Amino acid sequence: MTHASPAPVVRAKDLARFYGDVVGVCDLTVDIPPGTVGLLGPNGAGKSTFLKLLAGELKPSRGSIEVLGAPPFANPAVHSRLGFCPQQDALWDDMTALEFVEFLLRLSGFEPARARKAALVALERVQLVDAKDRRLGGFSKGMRQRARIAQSIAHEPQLVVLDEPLTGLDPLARHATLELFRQLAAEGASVLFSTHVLHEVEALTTNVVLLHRGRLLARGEVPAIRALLDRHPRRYSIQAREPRRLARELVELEGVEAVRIAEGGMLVVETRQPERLLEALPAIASAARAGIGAFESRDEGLEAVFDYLMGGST
Amino acid sequence: MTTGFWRASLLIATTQLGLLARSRRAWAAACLLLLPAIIAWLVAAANAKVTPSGLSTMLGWYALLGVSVPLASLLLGVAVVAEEVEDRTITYLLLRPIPRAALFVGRLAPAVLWLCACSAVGTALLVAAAATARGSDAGVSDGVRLPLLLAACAGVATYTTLHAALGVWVKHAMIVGLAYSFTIEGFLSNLPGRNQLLTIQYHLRSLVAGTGDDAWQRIDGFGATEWNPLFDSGLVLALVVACASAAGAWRLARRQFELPA
Repeated sequence: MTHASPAPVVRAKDLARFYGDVVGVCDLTVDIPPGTVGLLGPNGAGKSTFLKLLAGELKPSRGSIEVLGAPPFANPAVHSRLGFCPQQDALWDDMTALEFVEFLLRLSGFEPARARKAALVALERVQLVDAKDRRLGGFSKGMRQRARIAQSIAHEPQLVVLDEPLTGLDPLARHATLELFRQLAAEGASVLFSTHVLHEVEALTTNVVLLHRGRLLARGEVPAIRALLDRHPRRYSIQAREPRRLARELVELEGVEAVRIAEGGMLVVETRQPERLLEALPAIASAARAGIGAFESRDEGLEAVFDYLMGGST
Repeated sequence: MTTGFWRASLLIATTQLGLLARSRRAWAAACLLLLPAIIAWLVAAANAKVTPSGLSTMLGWYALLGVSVPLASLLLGVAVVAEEVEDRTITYLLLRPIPRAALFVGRLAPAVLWLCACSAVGTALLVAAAATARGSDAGVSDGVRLPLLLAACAGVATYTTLHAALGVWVKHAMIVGLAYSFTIEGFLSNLPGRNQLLTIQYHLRSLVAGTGDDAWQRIDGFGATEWNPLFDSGLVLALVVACASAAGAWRLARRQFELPA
């Protein structure tokens, strides 16, 4: 007996969107299944453009996109089943959080009493119920982000689309938001969210769509991406008082592939064993009296692995 | 679940009315409409020869209808949709299950209502200030007061709708609106001849000069002008409002907005 795979919630075919000469997305053909899916890509990959096309905020320059079986642009039938959390930090600052969510629920066809109730539930879910009567203009960045998420889930949409939903959230709120997405998925909603941080996707789903320079790079499982990352040398920048002395010591360390001094005297170390480097660095720096001022990962985003996948140099 | 046009328009309009009362732009427009009354009060206090009807018709014609009404309408009209785009909050409205035309109507109606209320207050204060003038004449009659009130309200409704539609169609609506106000409404309407018929200003003046007190006929330079009957000018203004509304709503239903992150 064979099982038919569920109908995709998003179906894009030869989708392209240009901003003058600039490519937003290009020749994108992808089916996104129900469930939780992470849209991954470095900054400028076309994630936001794809999500705006998907939400019906933009029209394709070429090709087609269907969301829940219909084109989304100016289509109330799609919008009643879709929740969208935009990336831009824009809210009606004179409204309270409750007024904001309630107003949008009323526009979604909710009667006043039901809208009030659903707004309170949504604000509770994003942990904003205590601040429900405060004006959005006085909210912190993280609270504003949570208010945006609240309006996207309040009407219990079939598909929730979130553009960089974890940006600006502190670790606790980030954890709570990831938990919220898990609950939404458990309740049967499909969740599609964009990010450029791989571990955010890993925390939620193994199903990812990878975009790079406006094109579909891959669709698949996170472990495969993680394996690629692990095979790929990691780069770290170290600011030290004595970079040459520190470089001499680090080049001997197991796993270190290259050490060079970049502009401004910054030491750039490439290693296949980042844990070993992180473990040994304090002792090496101390022994060499190198005086470390700053230390940071150069592979915070996915640019390196994407270039690697594309066959470019890093 | 989707929301119908009228219900969505009403919801947006009631919410927008609350936000409008806290908007600096709305209060700036209100100040513009009150400006002629302040000028009238200053002139009446400073000049002993000026008469109540002379002052009210002069300032009503030139300052209120000629300057304040078009500029206040421009200020609020272009913002009807453009403000949501600038603030990047239009996303929330466009992605709700409502007809997009409801967004245009729901945002336009409170702006018109606000400006009508401000025009009414501005006209009443202008007439009251002019009545304090010390020159002797018959005073400010209903033939001055009521047509001026009618024209001011019709003016803000027409100009605001026109500029709101402009705000949906063109990117730099304020600049285009200013150019229109100065060249067409400010310049063409003051030239002699039938070209005046192409301006909204002519039809507003027709509402007062064609129907009101004889005092309106004494405005310098317009004594020989042939004015439209009330019905004709009213019809033209209503047509402009209807066409501009339809054009704005039609364009909004099809337009996409590229909002920066």
